Amino acid sequence: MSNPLFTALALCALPCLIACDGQQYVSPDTVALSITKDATGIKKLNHCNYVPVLLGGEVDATYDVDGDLQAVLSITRDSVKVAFVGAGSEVEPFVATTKDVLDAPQTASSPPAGYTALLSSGCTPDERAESSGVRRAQAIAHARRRDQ
Amino acid sequence: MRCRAALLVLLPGAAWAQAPAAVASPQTRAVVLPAPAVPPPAAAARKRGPPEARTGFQMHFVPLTGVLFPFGGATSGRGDSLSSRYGWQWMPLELGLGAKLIDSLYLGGYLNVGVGWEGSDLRTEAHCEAGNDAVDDVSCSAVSTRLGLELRYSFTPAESMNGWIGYGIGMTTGSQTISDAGRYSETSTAQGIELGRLTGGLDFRASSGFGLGPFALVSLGRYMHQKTEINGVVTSSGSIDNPALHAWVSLGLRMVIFP
Repeated sequence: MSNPLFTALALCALPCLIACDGQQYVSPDTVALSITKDATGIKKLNHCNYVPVLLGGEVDATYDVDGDLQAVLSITRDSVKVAFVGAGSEVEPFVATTKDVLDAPQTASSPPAGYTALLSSGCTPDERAESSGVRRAQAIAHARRRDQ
Repeated sequence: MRCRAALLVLLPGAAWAQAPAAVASPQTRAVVLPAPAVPPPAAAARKRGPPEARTGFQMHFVPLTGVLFPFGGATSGRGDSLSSRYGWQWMPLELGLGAKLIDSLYLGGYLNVGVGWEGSDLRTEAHCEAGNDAVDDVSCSAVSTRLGLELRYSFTPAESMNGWIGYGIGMTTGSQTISDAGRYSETSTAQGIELGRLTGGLDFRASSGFGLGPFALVSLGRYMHQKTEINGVVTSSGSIDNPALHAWVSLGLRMVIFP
């Protein structure tokens, strides 16, 4: 430490060591969509997504739930919307404010018959699984269109 | 020969005056010379003044000397104004390449770039300014670009001070990013049409084929498409359902080649 050059380098590196301490400050909120089949009690879908931080940010995803049933999820900073496709009869989209979901889990008041849909917070998004799930859903949809 | 050289150096004006009278008399033999390279006084005076109006290639650029201010709405959504998304921006670059078709009319392409920080949206600001400055890993930035074609009309293309106005049309993008030392990153990009690029300014034209002067710019646009990317994955991409009109207002100093 008696070397002045070494001391100067150590002093220069100190701010970097403090700044690169691995602490995370953005801490984006997360929302999980889970859909359970009432008859069996088995969760047919459980996916976690980030709530966008920036104004205008959006997360859209389409998931296969069970058979022809698909859940189309749209998350903005202010609201979460889940629409159901292929549910047979027409089902109203499930819409909740992001604030409500972050405060307490929200259950869809009129989900597809025989299912329970729940939005909750505090999950850990698995981005690889999420993106592969979206891709899988897109591939299935593409295959269906081709078959028709 | 030495005498002739001395005359050329010491008496260029006399040599110029006597050159036409190149008579081979014994008295004037010493100054019977080829015409000297000194231009006539009238030509020199013209060169010191403004250059003549010209046609052909012209280029302008803004060398780090412009600022942009956001106005209007990014979309019609509640609280989604342009200034909420993007703060005022520094214009590190504007480049215009084109040609003067006639003395007073220019047609060319332009690229305009602005960089800055997040806008006034409190929720975004809270994330961007979290922590203290010493250990804050979060960085926020915003970039806007405009690319298109423009026409400019010069009022006095042959004078040393030339006022001009212009109109352009093209494409525009705005992008905002928040990044947390690689752990979380989110980018929101809006793209649309620049409906009108209204410009005006004053060029001080030098004889060296170079001009310099202040300009003002109002870029009216409408974002039509939006994309969100989180941690490198595109999470949303599609049309904006409720577009709105926005404006970037800019002031700066520009330089012109062959004004």
